[in-house]
Amino acid sequence: MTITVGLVGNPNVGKTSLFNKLVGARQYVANWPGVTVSRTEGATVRKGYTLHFVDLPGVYTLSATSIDEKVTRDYLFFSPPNVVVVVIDSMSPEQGIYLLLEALELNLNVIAVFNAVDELRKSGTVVDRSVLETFLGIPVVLTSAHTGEGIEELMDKIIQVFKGGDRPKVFPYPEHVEEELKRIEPLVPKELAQRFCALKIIEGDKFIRELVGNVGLSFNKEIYSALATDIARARYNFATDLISKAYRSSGRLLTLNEAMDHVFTHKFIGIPIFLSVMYLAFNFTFKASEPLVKVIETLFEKLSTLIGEENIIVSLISQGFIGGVGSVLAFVPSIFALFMALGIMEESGYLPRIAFLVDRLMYRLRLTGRSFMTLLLGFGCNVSTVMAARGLADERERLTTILVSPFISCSARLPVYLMITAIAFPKYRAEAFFAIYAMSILLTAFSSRVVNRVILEGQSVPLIMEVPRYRLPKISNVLTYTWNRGKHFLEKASTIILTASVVIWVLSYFPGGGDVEKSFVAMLGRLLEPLFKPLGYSWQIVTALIFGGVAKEVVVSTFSQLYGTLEGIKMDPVVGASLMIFVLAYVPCLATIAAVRSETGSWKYALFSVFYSFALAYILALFVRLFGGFILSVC
Amino acid sequence: METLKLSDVPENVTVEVTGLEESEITPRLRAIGILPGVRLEVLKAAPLGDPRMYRVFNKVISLRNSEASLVRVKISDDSPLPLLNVPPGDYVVVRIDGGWMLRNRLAMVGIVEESTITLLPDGRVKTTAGEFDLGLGRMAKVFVRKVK
Repeated sequence: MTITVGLVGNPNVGKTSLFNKLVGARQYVANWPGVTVSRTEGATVRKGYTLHFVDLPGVYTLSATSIDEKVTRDYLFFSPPNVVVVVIDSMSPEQGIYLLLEALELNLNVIAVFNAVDELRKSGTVVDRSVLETFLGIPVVLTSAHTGEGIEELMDKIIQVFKGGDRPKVFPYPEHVEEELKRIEPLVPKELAQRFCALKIIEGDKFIRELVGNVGLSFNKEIYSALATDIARARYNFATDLISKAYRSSGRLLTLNEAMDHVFTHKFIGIPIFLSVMYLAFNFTFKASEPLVKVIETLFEKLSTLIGEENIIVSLISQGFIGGVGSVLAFVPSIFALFMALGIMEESGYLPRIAFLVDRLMYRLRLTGRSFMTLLLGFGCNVSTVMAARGLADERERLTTILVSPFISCSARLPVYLMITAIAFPKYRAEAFFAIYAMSILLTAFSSRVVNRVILEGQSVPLIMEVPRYRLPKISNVLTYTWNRGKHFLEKASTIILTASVVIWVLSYFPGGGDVEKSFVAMLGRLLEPLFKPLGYSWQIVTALIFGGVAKEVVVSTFSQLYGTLEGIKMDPVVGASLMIFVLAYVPCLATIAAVRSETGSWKYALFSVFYSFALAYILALFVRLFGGFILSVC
Repeated sequence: METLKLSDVPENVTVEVTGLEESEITPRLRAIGILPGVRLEVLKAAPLGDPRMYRVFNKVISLRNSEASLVRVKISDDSPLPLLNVPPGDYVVVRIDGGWMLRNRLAMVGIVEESTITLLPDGRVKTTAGEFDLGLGRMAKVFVRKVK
């Protein structure tokens, strides 16, 4: 017997932690990348029942205007679960009770969960559950996703409610609202939740109004707007009244850590502090993962040389499989370390404050502070940005973030810069690095404007965001976060890279029988060489760039293979500079293209990403070549 | 009392919502609790003054000024106000919006949180330590409430 359970709640009430606790160790968490924001599903078995949980995006209302609100509303409305669990933050319950009252109108089995009761107790407040149950008319469970309190009880309650729960009481609105409700309700088709629809029609919900069709609105817009206000006020009056009855506390509920916020979101030092924190996070990422990366690299090298390349099969295994997959696996520790650093920042509640700090700057780029955090991930790996963009509520903002993310200079490009600077201008390496990272940020900002001007017209989205309390991050939560994010990289990137590296091996092995100079790849390099003549690139560089399309760091290994050694290569400084910019901007790597394709659900955006970045790279590289050559000849 | 846009209210001031301008995001503002009759506290602004944090019931919400300007409010009678913007009379210092340097300076002239001070008609401030001319900048950072 399967019971479907929908988890609903405001953003930041610990819904996902609760989900993880509920689904437990034996979870099969699947992400459903819908067209837009995903919902997460997982199941657990209890007393012979399979409890199938669906974690829905956090919302404040079921009147859907944004994508995440639509996902939640559509799920509850069109595929109603057996039981709806509304998760309420017991430290700030008003908004949660508002949502609960909306959910009750759907005429489903509802359980109210007051989460974070451990924090509430710490603040010296007691909540009387029986009072809540009496006035709400539904089962109430007090939980803590942090300590695991109440989780078992919640599962039992779900089964109990499923077996034969009372439908919730009807929440009464002021008389003049009820009159209009009585008039509209019978006009709503029986198969829909009539009272819910009637309320939404009064509240001016466009979607429900269209769905139900003409019900003959009796007033003008202003009066309906006043009615909507009265409805909302009735809900809030109920909520504050309920809390005053059920809560016994000393003083204000919320103790926002004002001293911490004075520093972290300070007008002047807030951003410098953030930059230092990010520096530490990156440093942690590379320092913590370095030894492991070294070990993995050596391991794969050893394995590869052990096997050798005597014949075609052995070569395929050592070069294609081990070489290809190894280069990816070597990056895994760094990626996990980065996600761990970000997980700690998110768990502690610092991340939303960064979004708050930089929102004004992002607004200029038609983005919000939230996309800024997503883009920062790109310095590790662009695929993570594309994936993490799922968390962005607004579709236009999400697409922009995905499309500009390849210009964030990811760590895979680092070895390429290292090589080029060493060859072309060994004396000015630090300056070159600073310039290329500045360039990366400029290109991202510029592209955001272009994308918004050319393919996605529209206004910047409103940023209505909750600023949560600071919390001490819990190790198990951080680890779950890290694993859930990093897992994607393992799965998707490695399958793609594996396939690609086999293809490249084939192209570089045949028809010369292992001689790269006579291979298809070399032919291709020579064929395309004229295209890159204006940039002054040799066929070896062109070949390396083609290889680098799979993964940018492959440019380095191709260089060493084609030239034999990196020591003897001579490169004009101007060509070096133009090549650096070209490597920064030209086509996203295969994993990123695949991620763009799967996350946008269309080849159109993936192709745009490829052609736009290639054109931009070519123009910039040409500009550097011509202009740089001119400057050098003058000096 | 006249109504203001929420975006024009200075920080640390408590207001009561009087109305919402109808727009795309009105349902969400209502759901968050920004409704006529509800008290809001303006907490603090990001660098460059936008967005700002507000306390709505027990949640802290960040709103951009473009959205906050849709909300009409009036200043609550019991709201702390900057000393700069109040008429002469007796006041209790509710908070000092600044770092330790400003606090130290003000403590030297007898202005600390919870202390009672008198704003004289000539704009000078009378404290237990004497009469002082604070200057407009500092007066904007001292939040006071009228003595009942």
